[in-house]
Amino acid sequence: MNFITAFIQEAIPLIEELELIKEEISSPFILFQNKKHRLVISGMGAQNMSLAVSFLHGIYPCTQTPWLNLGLCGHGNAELGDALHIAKCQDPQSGKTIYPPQLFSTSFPKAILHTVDQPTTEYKTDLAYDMEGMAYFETAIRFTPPELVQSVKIVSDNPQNPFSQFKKKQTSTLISPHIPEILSLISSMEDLALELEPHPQLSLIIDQALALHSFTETQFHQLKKLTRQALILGLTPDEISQITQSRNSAKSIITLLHNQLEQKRIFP
Amino acid sequence: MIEVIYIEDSIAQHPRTLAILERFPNATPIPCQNYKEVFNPAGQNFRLQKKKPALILAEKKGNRALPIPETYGIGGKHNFYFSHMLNCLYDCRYCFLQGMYPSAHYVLFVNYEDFISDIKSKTAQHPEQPVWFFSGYDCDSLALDHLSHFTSSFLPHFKANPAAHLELRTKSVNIKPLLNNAPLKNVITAFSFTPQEISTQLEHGVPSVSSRINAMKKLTQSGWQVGLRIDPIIDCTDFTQRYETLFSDIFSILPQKMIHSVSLGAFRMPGPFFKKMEKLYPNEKLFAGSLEKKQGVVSYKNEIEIKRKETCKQLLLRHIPIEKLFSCETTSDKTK
Repeated sequence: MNFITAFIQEAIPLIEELELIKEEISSPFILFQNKKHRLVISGMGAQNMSLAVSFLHGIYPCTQTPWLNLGLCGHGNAELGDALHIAKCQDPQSGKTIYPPQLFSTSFPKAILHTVDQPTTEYKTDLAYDMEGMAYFETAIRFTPPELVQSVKIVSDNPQNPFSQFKKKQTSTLISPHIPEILSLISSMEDLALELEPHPQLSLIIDQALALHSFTETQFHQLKKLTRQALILGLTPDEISQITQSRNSAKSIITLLHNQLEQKRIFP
Repeated sequence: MIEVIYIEDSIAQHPRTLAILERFPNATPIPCQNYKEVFNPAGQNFRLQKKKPALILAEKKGNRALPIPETYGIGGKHNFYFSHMLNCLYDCRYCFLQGMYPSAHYVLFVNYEDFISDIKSKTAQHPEQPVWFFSGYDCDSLALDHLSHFTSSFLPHFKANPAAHLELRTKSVNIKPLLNNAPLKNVITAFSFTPQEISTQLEHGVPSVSSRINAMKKLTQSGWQVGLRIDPIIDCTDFTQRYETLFSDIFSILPQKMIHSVSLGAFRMPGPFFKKMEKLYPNEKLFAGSLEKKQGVVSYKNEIEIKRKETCKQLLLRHIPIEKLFSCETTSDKTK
């Protein structure tokens, strides 16, 4: 799973909880990771966020990876420290709007987020404000289904406590109380992403066949489809491998697989 | 449970919108300019959204009553469908909605009055003949009635306009809204069936065959006519025995005279829809069946389709006269 925050202070509670390790790599972005999770600090603003999301996708180019943006926001009427689950993100300047599908239940109230160019001094009721949200959503949904792209924002400023009074060192104090709920959200997102995983043996069998024979582009797609169907229809990976190894051409593998499946295609 | 309700600005103050919001006090309302902003974006995953669809309240603009495909009728000459709702409570693996729509969210068009006005005007265009309106093409007509109050809103119109005929198509056993009303001769409730063994594997969330038969029985006992929709026919092991059992179970309970019509339709799917569905559910056995693409439509191989339809036809004719049996065809090359 991938995480993005704008500032290191926003990331610290998550880094500590997930025991993420800073990677010593030459890149414009700071990367932390463990076996299952990766976190990048984007820096402030839309352009940095967009680049950071692309950078992280480049490191781990999986199309079913869930993404979570965790950060601070201003709000027109929410209390300092309130956590919000973003259900609508708007860029008032461009007029763009994104509605991240809300499949995950949390105790965080759903909120509408306005992404602005500068920290705002004018707060409207029922609106949250940040500077990276739209860029985050727009970029991440290019790489993964929008259902798996979520954002949680913690209120750091409001009309009674404007941004000018905010001290960065307060960040962890605001975010930390919400970490248990955020971990639960992370777990739900990871569980859902598992549903999109292909059959674990599929790529292994195909790679074996490709190593043995030369396939045209069309034959490659046929092989992929027939192998997938063979697994669904009850052939074991060993049986499929035997077919791919027992023939001396791509064409004959496809014909044999096709014939073997014909009798198995009736719905049970 | 619905946690988020998206509301089009134009109907935010519509009485039906306000009533629905009252019924879901814990749901978060999110305003939108047009429902398509939420429903249409590319890249959405129907399968994931089906886990927890949101509700979108919107206004249906443009044509609200559209002609049905020529071969889909049940005896009427003038046939239209209308969709007060998009998407379905149930999750049937063969359903074309998952191939057609980018989103699994429920869209409810709350401007019922405009639908009724269009239904009136289409009916008035054919004053001498009955005009049929089919409500369950893009949703299940009854399954979400507790949310939409569709039945109680539309029945009074059909009561007042006997020339307009309504088909409610459903897999739901939520028949209370009908039982609360006196039966209407111009309204039929058509139940879709596959044999229980198929239903268990493919119709997720759908009430059992026996409970649907029971719902049909209650309706007929109250004087409501019912229809049977054997669509899609699924090629399967023990095909004849399974379908024979299904039909015997149905017709041993229902009086034939209360059955308005029975229609048969083989599994068929526009090519692009099928491709999307296969991608959504790559491990689905149904999609690995003996299917082929002809004229842009994916269906069973001709010999299988013809044989299975004929078997169903012969089994059904043991119970009903041929006048009540209709066949839904997609392509002109398929024989009846």
